[in-house]
Amino acid sequence: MGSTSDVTKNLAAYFRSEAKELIERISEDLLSFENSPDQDKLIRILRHAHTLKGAARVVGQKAIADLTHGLEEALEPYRDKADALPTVEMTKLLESIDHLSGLLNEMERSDTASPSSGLNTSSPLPNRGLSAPPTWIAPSSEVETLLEDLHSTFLEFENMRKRLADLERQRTLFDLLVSQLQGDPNLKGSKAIAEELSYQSREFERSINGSVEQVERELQQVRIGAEKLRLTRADSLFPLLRRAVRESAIQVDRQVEFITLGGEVRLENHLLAAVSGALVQAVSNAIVHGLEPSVERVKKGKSAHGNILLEVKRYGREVIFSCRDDGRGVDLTSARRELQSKGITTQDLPDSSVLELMMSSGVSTARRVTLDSGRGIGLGLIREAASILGGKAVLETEKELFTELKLHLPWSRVVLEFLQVRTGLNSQEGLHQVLIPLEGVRAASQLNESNVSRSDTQETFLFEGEPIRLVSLSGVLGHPQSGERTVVVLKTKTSLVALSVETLNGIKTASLMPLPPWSQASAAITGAVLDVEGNAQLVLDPDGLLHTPLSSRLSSERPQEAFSRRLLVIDDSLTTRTLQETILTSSGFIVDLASSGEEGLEALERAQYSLILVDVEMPGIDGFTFIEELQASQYREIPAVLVTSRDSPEDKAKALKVGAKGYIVKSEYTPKTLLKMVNQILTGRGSTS
Amino acid sequence: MTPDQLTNIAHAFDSAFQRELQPPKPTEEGLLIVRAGGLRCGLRCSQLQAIVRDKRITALPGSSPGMLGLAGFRGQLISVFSLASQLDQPLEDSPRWLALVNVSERVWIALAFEALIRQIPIDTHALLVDPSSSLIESFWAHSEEEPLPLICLPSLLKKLQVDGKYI
Repeated sequence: MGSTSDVTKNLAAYFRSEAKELIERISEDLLSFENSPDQDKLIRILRHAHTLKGAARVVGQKAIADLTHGLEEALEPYRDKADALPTVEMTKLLESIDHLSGLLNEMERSDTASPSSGLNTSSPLPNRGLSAPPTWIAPSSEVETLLEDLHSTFLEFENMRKRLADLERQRTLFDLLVSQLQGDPNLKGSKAIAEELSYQSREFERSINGSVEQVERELQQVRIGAEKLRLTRADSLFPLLRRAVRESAIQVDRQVEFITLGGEVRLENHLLAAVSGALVQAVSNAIVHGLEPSVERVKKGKSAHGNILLEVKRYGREVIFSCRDDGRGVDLTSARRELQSKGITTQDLPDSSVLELMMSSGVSTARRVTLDSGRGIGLGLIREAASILGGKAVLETEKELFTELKLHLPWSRVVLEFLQVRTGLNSQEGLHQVLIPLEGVRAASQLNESNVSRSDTQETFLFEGEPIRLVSLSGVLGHPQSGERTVVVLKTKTSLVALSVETLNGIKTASLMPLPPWSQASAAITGAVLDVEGNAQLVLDPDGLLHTPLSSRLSSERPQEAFSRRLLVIDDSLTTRTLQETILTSSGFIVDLASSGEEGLEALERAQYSLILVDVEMPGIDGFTFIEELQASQYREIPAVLVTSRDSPEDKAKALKVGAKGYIVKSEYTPKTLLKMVNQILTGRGSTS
Repeated sequence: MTPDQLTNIAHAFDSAFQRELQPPKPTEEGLLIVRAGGLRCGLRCSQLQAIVRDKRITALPGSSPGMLGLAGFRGQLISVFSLASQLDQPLEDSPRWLALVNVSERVWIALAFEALIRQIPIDTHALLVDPSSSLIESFWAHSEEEPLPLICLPSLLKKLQVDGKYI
C-alpha cells in the first residue's frame, strides 16, 4: 500500500490531467459560443467549470477553485438569455482561462521532480497570453520505455509458442504409446495411464493455447494504445490557433470564419510543439495582412467575413500544414520593387520565384517588403521553423483571390490504417507482405485479360472506363512476377495507379516510421512499421510507384529483358549446368551456359552479366584461374561464385584470395541455398551496369 | 560433504560480498570473435551496443550495395549491412547475428555476420597494429591459431557512409 504522500501525489497527477482537459473544453466552447451563441454550449461550459471547481477544492488548489468560481459568476447572467457576450467580457473570460492554464503549469512544475516533457514546455509562442496546446501528453521517455517493454514481451511470446510446439509433440508421443499398448491385454493398466496422460496433455495444450492467443491480442491493443500516447492528434493545436485568430481579428477589426480540417492526423509531440509557433504566425498574418475589411470585401463581391482554412494532410514522406485565406493576395508588384531595391533583379522572374525569394530573403528584407506590400511579417520566422524541422515553407497566391502558406515537414511517426497485401506465395523468394496506407486506396478488383492492355513499354488497367498505369508488387520488390490476379487502385497526388498483388490480407492499424538513417530505397517505399514480433514491414507510397523504374509489370514478367537478371553458368558437367539452369530460370533469371573457363571468358564479350557461377575443376583453365583472369579484365566488377565439390579449407582460402564472392559446396547445395546466395549477392552488389 | 566444508563454502561465499570489486586491468578488453563470410575476425565489445540473433531482415528494394535490409530492434527501425560484404568476403550463408553499432546521436545500424564464435578478454598489449589495411586495425596474436584480425569499426563505418552517400 502506498504512503499518504504517494496518494496525494497521485491525486494531484489525476487532477492535473482532468483539469487540463476541462480547461481545453471550456476554452473551445467559449470561442464557439462567441461565434454562435447557444444555450446548450453555455450550460456545458458551466458544467465543466463546476466540475473543475469541485476537483480543485478536493486537491486543495484554492486559487484554481476561486478563479473558476469567478468564471461561473461571470457567465451566470447569460444562462437564460444565451445572448452574445460583449467582446470585452469574452476577452476577460479567455484571460481567466489563460490564468488557469498558468496555475496548472505552475502546479505541475512544483509537483514533478523531473522537468515534464510534451507541449507545455515548448518554446514561447510569439502571441502574448497564449499558452501551448492544453493537451495531456505522456512524457515521451516513459512511453518509449513502455513500448520497448512491450516489444520484449512480444518476443517472449515467440518462446512460448516454441514451448507449445514441444507440448504438442509430447501429446503425439502419448497418443503413439496408447496405440502401441492397444493390443496387449497384460498392459491394460499402462494403457489406461497413457490414455489419461494423453487426455491431460491435450486439455492443457488447449487451455494454454487459448490463453496465449488472448493475452497476445490484448497486448497488441495495449501496444496500439501506447503508440497513440507517443503521438498526438493535430487538432490539439486548433484551440491555440482559434485563440490566435480571435486576437488578431479583434486587433484589426476583421470578421473571420476559421475552418480546420485533418485534425485526426496523429503526429509526434515534438513536431506539433515546434510547428505551433509558426502556425500561430501564419493565421495571424493571414488576418492582419491578407483579409480585407468587411466593407471592402462586400464591394469586391466577397462575403463580409473572411475565411481562413487550416488543413493538416499527410502525403508520402511529409506532413503538410496549409493556411489559406480568401483575402487580397500578395502584392507582387510591391514585392518585386522591394527586392529590386535590395539589388535582386526580378524582372525576368515568374511570380512563383518572387514568392520563393520573399520566403527565403530573411527577416529584414521580409519586413521591408511587408511595409510596402502588406504581407510578409514573420515569414522569416515561419521559414526558420520549417527549416529547423527539416522541411520547407512555400507561398502561393493569386491577386484578389487567395494566399496559401504551406509548411512541408518530414514526419517521424504517424498512426495510420493500412491495407495489407501479399505477393510471392508460391515463388522461390517467398511470401512478401507490404502495407498500403488505407487513405490512398480507391478500389480493389480482379485482374483479367479484358481489363488489361499492353504496349511495348507498359501495361494499363481499365478502371471505370479509363486506362491507368498497372504496376506489379513483385516487380516493385525486385522479384519475378507470379500469379498476381488482384488489383488495388491507388490515389496519387495527380492520378490513379493500379497495383497487382496476389492477395489482400485485411486492414491493420500501425505506427508508420520513416526509413531509418543510412538507408536508401526505391521511391515506392515510404517507410515501414513493426509487426507484433518486432519485424519490419514495408509501406508503399502510391506516388512513388509512378517513379520507380521497376514499376511496370513487364519488367518483372519478362526477366529476359532485364539485364540485371542475366547470369552465366560455367561447368564442364552437362548435368550440373542443366540443374543450375533449371533452378535459376524457374526463378526468372536468364541463364547463359559455358562448358569451360575459356568459353566463359568469350561469353563475357557477347553479353552483360550480373553474376557468374563457375566450377573449379574443368578442362583448360580451372575456376580459380578463371576468376583471376576475370579480376584482371574489364569485367572485374561482375561477382563470381565458385560451385564445386571441393570442400577443403585451403580451397576456400584460395577462393577468397582470388576474389570469389561466394563459395558453394555441391554436396551441400539445394535450390534454395543457391537462389539465396545469388539473390544476396545481387541485392548487395546490384548489377554491373 | 562435511559440515566443516559446507561452513567454509558458506563463509567464502559471504565474504566475497565484502571484498571490494576489482576493476578490470587497464589493458584488458572484451573481444568478440565472429565469422563474417569466410573470415574469422574480432570486434571490440566496447564499440558495440548489443548483439542479437535470428532477427528477421526485411529486404529493401533499391537499397545501397551491401545493405541487407531493415530489422526492428526495441521499437526502432535499424538499417542492416553485411559485414562480409564490407570486408569483401564471399557470402557463405545467411547471417544470423547482428551487432548493433551507434553511429551518431540516436542513430544505430546493425552489422550482420554469420557466426558468433566466442567472447574473450584480451590483453591489448598483445595486439599488433596493421598499417596496411584501413579496415583491419590490428591483429591479436595468440598461441593457438593464426593471428586474428580486429575490425577497425570507425573506418568501416566511414567507408559505409561514403559508399552509401549517407553524409
